[in-house]
Amino acid sequence: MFLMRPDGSQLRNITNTPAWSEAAPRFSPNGKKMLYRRLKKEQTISHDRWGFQGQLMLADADGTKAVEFGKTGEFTWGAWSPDGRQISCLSLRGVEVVDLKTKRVIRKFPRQGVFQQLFWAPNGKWFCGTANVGGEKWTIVRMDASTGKVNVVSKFQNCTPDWFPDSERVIFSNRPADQGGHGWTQLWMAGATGKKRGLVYGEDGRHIYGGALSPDGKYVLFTRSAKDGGGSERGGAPGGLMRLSDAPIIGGSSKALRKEHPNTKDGPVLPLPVCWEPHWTYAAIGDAK
Amino acid sequence: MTDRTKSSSKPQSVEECESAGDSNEPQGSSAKIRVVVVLFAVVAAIGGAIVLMSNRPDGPADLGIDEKVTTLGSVEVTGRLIEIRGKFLPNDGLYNYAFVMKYEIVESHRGEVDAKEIFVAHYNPLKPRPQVADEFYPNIGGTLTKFRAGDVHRMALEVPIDDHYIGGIVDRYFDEREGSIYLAVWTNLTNRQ
Repeated sequence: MFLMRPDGSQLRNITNTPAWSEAAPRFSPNGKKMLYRRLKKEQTISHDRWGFQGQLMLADADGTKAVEFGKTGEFTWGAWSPDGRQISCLSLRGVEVVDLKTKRVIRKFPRQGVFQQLFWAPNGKWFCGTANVGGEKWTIVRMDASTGKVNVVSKFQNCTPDWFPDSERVIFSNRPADQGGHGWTQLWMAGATGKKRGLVYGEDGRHIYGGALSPDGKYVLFTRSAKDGGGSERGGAPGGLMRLSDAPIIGGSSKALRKEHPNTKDGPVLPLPVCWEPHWTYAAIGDAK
Repeated sequence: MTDRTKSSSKPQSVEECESAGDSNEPQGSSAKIRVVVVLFAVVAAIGGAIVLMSNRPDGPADLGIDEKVTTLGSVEVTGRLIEIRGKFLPNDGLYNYAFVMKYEIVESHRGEVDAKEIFVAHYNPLKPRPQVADEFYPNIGGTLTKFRAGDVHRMALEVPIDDHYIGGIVDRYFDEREGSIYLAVWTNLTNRQ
C-alpha cells in the first residue's frame, strides 16, 4: 500500500508487508483510520470482486497499527459509515451494518440486487452500489439506508460508483454501447436520482476506472488502463487528476469520442504514478502535509 | 431366385416372409430362408441400435447421474434447454456473470418445481462445466462442456438465486419471466430425448 500527495509526490510504502498483497484502501471520514483488504501474496486481485477477497484490515491512516478486523471472507465490502463508528457490509446475507467496536450486526436489510461496490453516502442517508436491476446487468443504484429501497442511477455496463461529498451525485465508470467491439470505459457522473448525467473523462484506448472525488469536491482522481479491468490483475494503471470544473475532458486524439461529445474541453490532466482503486483524504498523514 | 436374393439383402416384414413361404418352394428350403431372414433382421436391429447409441454423448442410456448432481443443491431436475437467448458475453478472465437460459422440465427428481418451464442461470457459460469453478464459486461444475439448445441436462439447482449467488446476472427474460431464477450448481449432459 502506498501513500502519496495529490500531486504524486512523497510516494511511500506504508505497509511494507512482502508476505501479503493489499488492496482497495478506504480512509475513514475523519482521515485517521483506513480499511483495506489483505490477500495472500499469490492471490490475483479481482478488479471488481476484491471486496469478497481476503481479510478486512483496520489500520491507522499511515499504515501503522494494522489489525485483522475479520477472518478471510468476513465483513465483505466493508465500508465506512459517515461517523466512522460503523461499517456497511455486502454479502449473500444482504446489507449488514456492523458496529466497529463490538463487530456485531446492528442492522440488516435485503441487498435488492446489489452485488458489489456498496458505499455509504457522506450524509448517511444512502448507499450506492452496482446491481442487477430490471434485467440490466451492472446497473448503478442508490439505496435508501433506512428502507433499503433502490432507484436507478445509470443502466448498462457500469461499475465502481462512489459518492460526491454533497451526497447528491455519484461518480462511476460506464462503457457505453455502440462503440464497436468491446468499447472503452469512461468516467461519468450523475445525480443520485439518475438525472443530469454527464461525461467526466474519456479517452479512446484507455479504460477509466477508480473515480474518486477530493474531499472538497473540486478534483477527480482516476486511473487510465490500456487493458480493461483497471489493472488490479496486473501491474495497475497510470493515475490521473483533473479539476471537476474542467469536465468533460477527452484525452488523446479519441476521434470517435470527440464526435460523440463535441463540446468537451481539453483541460489539463496531471499524470500520477501507476496505481489501482485509489482513495483520497484531506487529512495530514504522518510527516506529509 | 434372383428376386429372393434381392429380398434377403434387406430387412423384411413377417408378411413378406410368410408370403415367400407360400410360394412353390419346397418346405425345408422355405424354413431355412425364414431363419436366415429372422437372423438378418435381428442382426440389423442390433447393429442399428449400436450405431444409434454410438452417436449419443456418453454411450448407451446416459442419464447424467453422478454423486454431485444427486446431492448438491435443493432441487434436481432433468430438463431440455429450449432456448439460449442472444450471445454470451466473453469469459476473458475479467468479467464473471450468470446467464439465464430457458428449460423445459423432462423429469423432476428432487425438490419442488412447480412449472413446466424454468429459468436457470449458468455461471460463466462459455467455460466447460468441469473448469468453471473458481475461488468465488468452488462448488459449481458438471460434465457438460458446451451449452446447445435442444440438449437435455441433469442439473442440481438452488433457488432463489440471490440466496446463493452474488454477481452480475444476464437475464434477457426479465420482462416476460414468471417465477424465480434457479442457479445451476451442477450440470451434466444426458442423452435423453
